Amino acid sequence: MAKTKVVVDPITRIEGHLRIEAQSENGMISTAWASSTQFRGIETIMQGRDPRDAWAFTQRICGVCTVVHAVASCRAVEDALGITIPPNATLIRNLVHGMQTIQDHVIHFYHLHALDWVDIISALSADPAKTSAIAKSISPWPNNSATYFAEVQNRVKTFAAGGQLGIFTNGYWGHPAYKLPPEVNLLAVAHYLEALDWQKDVIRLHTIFGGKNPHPNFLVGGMASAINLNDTATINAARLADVQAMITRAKRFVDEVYWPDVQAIAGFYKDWGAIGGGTGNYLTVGEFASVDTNDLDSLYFPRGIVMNRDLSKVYPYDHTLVKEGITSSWYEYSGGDAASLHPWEGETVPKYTGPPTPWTYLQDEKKYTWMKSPRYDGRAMEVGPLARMLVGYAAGQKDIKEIVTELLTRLDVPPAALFSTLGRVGARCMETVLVANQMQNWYGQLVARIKNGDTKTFNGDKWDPSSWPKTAQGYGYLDAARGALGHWVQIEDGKISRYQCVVPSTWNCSPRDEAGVPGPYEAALMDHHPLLRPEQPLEILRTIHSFDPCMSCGVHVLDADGHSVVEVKVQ
Amino acid sequence: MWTNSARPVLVLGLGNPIMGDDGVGIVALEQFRERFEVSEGVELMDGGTWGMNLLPYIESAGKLLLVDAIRAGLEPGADVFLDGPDLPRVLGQKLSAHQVDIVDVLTLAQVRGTLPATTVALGVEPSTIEMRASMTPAVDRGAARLPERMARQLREWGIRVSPRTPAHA
Repeated sequence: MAKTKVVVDPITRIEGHLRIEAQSENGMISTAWASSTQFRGIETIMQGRDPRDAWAFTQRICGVCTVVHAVASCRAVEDALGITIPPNATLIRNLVHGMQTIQDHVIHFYHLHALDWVDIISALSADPAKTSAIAKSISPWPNNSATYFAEVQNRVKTFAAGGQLGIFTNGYWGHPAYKLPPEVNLLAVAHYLEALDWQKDVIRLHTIFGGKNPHPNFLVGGMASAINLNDTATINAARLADVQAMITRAKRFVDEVYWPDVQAIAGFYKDWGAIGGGTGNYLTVGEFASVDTNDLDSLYFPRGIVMNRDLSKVYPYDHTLVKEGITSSWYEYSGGDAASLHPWEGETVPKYTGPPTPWTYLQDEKKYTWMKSPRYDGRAMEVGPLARMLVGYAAGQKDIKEIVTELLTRLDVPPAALFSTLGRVGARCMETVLVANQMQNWYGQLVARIKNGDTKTFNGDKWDPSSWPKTAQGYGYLDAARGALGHWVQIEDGKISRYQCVVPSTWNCSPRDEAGVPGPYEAALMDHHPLLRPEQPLEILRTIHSFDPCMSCGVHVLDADGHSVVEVKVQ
Repeated sequence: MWTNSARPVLVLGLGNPIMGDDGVGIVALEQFRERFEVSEGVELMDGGTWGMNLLPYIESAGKLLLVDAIRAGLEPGADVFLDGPDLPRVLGQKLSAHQVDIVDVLTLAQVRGTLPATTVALGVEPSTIEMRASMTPAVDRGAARLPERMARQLREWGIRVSPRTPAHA
């Protein structure tokens, strides 16, 4: 049977600039290519700048992940200069990053990913009374009456009747891969709308600790959050009470809406526990230290590597084994195409050799993307929530073991089902539950320290450049919502001489390497992956979205053509 | 259509200042902040490229002034003005450098019945959108005109906008 070529460009529902090309045969994907179609050159922008200002630039790398790029940058500079931040600063960074993770995962699920599993049109034919019964059976969440669901249904009906589906226009409604009963679809649509209200209330936490949002203030050496319980201009007792309220609200939504929804929806898609696994290697840099960022033993999400889907062993992570190749990427290295470079030796010299745009196919090109290929000790690695849950599970982290076991038991699937598209969806939700619990813990510690008179949030010992060595280099780790993130900085005479970032999507969206080994997106699409209707590549979206791609990375330029966000070309 | 005077006016700068001309909305917002004082009830916000997260801020606004790089097929640096009920539809034709976000956000606000009654977009036609921390000269000049244009728009809405007293006057 003839091969069908499928192009999906751009694939993200809201953020842009990822292109997937795939070939399918007999309803299955035989091979796939992932391409990031936009060059990023943050490295060149950073040269010659004051390292203390670096975070303000890096937080613009991604419009949505501002917090993580700022903190990773601060950590890289702190590592280079030998700065230890005060315990309060670690706790505040945990709270800010933790809330970002929670909010990001919930938004990703309901607003970017749910519509790959939930058929919004089918929800229109649901019986609200039955939806109400389902809602009551899985959660104590109060918005669960038949009247409430009928109201939601009417709102969507009015909207659909006006021909104004807008953001929903691009769905493949009625596709046979949608398996949820109309009543569960309606439940999910209701929570899609509720999540919008919830997110705005919880993310205000960033404004309290960082002064503003979406670009909160950070500080090399700690946090710029002055604490004085009795001063209205600082973080005081009233603001801490606000923080407590937000943590409670976040946790409640996660426990009573997101977690039950994911379990209910996953129950109808258990076959996706055998689809879309991919590389089988998982890497975490670890995250959420207790009080000292450098105390790696205290990381709540442990650092390490799981190889070849073997959960009996965790390998240690050593950042010096991270190297980036460019065999398939539009760059040149002074040492030639076959070289692979550690970020401290990293080079970012673009050299476009692809066909003129608009592209027909990139897959016939040797080089086909602006992404480099990061490899760990020569191996492709998946990063993200699934990697964190697998490394934690294999390392015997108690909370992770417990919640993973709970989900597997409830779905009645073996641990092997984790290595899949469904595994990613479940892992993202499980870690949200865990982080929401930890928020209370970090908050409690912070308040206890303040009550004991410790209000220090900044270590200024090395603020003055005259206290710095002539040359220094540092590595800032951070396990962000989307996965392992690294910033590498080199400082000469008080200025940045070299800066490199390896972001989660670079790991996951990386192209084929020198050995021809595909990156995680590509490998996942080639792993028992169905594609029923090439002209409606819903299954591709499911797997790619399960990684939570963030290809836009702060770039939202539009092409002049087109009226659809997801563009599919078939030959 | 109705407006609730309790809902603030939101001036929302959009874009990414490390992406060349894409940053024009943010640069203009900062210049506006330096040059003008506005009456209470007007919120100035650097929205960056925050996407869906912007929804609650937009929903809380009675009037919305978007400041952004907008592709309208004009000369680089040219002034662009969009308003009226057509605005989401026009943005839907991929004119603005952020429409993928902003049109989705405006559409969702529409579903929820929370779209600000009045929305105006002021912008500048961008030339180069690539990773660098400065804008092209034509767009730089466009950015310099924006604070005055923003002030004029706000005054049309009956808002008091007064020049800040220069520090060395």
